[in-house]
Amino acid sequence: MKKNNILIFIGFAAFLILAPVISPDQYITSVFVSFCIKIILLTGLNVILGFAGQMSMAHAGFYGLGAYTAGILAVKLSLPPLLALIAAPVAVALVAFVLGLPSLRLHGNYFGMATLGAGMVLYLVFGAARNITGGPNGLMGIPAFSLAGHPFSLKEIYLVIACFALLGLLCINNLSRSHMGFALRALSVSEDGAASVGIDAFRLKLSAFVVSGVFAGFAGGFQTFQSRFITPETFAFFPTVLMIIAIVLGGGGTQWGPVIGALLLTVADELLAVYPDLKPLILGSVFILIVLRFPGGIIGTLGTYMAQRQEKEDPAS
Amino acid sequence: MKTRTHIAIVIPVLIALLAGLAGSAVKVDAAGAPSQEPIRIGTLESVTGPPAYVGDKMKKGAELAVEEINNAGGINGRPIEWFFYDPAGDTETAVIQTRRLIDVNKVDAIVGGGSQSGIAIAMAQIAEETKTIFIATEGAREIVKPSDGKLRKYVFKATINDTEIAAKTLEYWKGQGVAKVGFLPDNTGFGQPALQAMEEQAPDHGITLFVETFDTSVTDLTPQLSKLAQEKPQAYFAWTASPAGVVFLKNAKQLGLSENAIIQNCFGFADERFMEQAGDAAIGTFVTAPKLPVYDELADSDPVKESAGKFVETYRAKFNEAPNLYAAESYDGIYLVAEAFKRAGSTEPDAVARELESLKDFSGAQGKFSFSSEKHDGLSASEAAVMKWDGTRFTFVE
Repeated sequence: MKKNNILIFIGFAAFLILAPVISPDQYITSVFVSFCIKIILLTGLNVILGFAGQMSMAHAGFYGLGAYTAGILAVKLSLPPLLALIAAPVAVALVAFVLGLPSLRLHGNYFGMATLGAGMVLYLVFGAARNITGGPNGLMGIPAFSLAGHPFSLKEIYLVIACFALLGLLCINNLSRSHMGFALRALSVSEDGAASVGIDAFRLKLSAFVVSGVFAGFAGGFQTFQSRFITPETFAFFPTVLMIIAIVLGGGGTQWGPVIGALLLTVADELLAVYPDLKPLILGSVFILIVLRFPGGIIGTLGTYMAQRQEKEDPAS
Repeated sequence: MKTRTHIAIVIPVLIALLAGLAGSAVKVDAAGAPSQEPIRIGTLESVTGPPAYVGDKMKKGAELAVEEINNAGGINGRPIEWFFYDPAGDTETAVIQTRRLIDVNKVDAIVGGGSQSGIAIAMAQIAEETKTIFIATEGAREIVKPSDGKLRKYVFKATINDTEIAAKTLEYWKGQGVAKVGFLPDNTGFGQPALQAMEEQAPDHGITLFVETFDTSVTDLTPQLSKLAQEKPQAYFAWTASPAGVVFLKNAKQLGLSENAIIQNCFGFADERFMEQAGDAAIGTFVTAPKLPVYDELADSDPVKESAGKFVETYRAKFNEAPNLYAAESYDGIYLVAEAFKRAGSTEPDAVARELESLKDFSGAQGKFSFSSEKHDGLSASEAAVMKWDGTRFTFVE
């Protein structure tokens, strides 16, 4: 298992890094940029939603907070892009910590409601704090990402983002096999059960929430520097719903689930771009179908299927 | 055994991704096309998402113009091949779709900036970098001229500037002896730049502004209007393209303000649907907008009477509904770029940009367009009109 996973990872990494480099046009690269940012975002959401089983609906808000933090620092305070990029996850982690302190004491849907509210407040602030965020008109004048005076081209910034996405996947792979990963999965099944074997559920959930915020912050920072223009609409309520759907479709609590989810969102965006009216209908139908027939998501279902097949072929074990 | 599992996962994934990238746009139009190489034009308008109430009309306006030009034999005999995408009000999506138009569909020009100024600004950056002709159908001045003050070479605008609407309105008030105005801009990217424009120009016309900003989701403007009424203004002017303008008209009527003051909306309200919603409260109120709604009252010598008339007629025939200014913006955008391609005799962006800059008095559905190397927005204050709603239609005032 481990060895195969390493092979898949290497294959996927080679694909991510090579595909846009050999392609001549910017469109392919920008699709891959969007894909990688979605991987980072969803990998983060997977920690709190998939592993810990907490329905966080503030993720688009966190994503936006990261984007606006980086953007505002670069535009209004003329901070170097690298510092602005690093500040984004720090800011989101702080907000996630402060928000998590009271809200993670809530359970089930109530936590979802609290984070939904927080996400909406963030979205409204992006639109209302006109002097700082540029309001609904968007934040303009974001400089290109540069390091030591060298401005990054689209391909170069893509490589940075892709490496980050891969690094994020590695971290999650480690997490899922660590003590924390097992503890998170335990508490997602039963908090009381987890507490009875000595797991500090609240502290663990808070850490997971902050980690998911860090990922969202990085995704936001990258988004800011690649599009160089951000509007509140990207971070509204519907994107949060799409992210949750993507996690469910891909398979929550697995390493590759968010990648499949990100892929589905990216491909759906591009394929359905010419049929805008049908997009919600098609996405909705697919979602219903998957939830009814394959509640474990694509990765979960495949895993179960393979396990069953193996049992049949290898009755000795 | 497990290797196969993973192959089972990875292969469909790769296939799906490649299929997604290869899936090219549906080629709308080019029916009965001559065999010549087509001219490719791309359009981004939000027919879903928050800006859909303007985006839908904008898409239809562009569609109509493409169809008309192709039926008339295309541009110098070359048909237009039209590509359309819907960014649904999201900048991130719009950026990818813009690159897709440029890299995959290889368009010669883009008309329409996603039905939202913010999106159009993001697209303008890409258009400028890739030397793609871009005609925006959105309002913000920053689309053609970013805040650092340098005009974008390849980016133009088929919409009127808020500064021109402000100038026309202030001029009208001056003639009516108005000295004090209660001004209500909304808090969006539409209302706020207008506030700046009004504040800059009002002193030149000897007019004092009293300002109350409001949110587009407002359901009652009585507090704002009552506060402004204490200053006894001779005119109340709301600047919004949202249904809040209906609230403005209704509240102004309830407070009896219309008895001794002018009640006026900006061009966001030159739409019969809004006026009809306000019912009796809208009767006798004014709007400042490009001339389209009152085209039939223009002098016969004004070529806009004919060009706007043709637009209204063909739009009605095709879509069986009344056109509005939003539809006219994208309709004009397509015609402007088609004219520039025709004059340039090629699709070479520098030549097309030069031809656009040299267009003078080009008669469209909204008015006469004149561009120059310093002005990439084509409509001036002289192309705007003050009009009055009589309960069923707009009538020309000045």
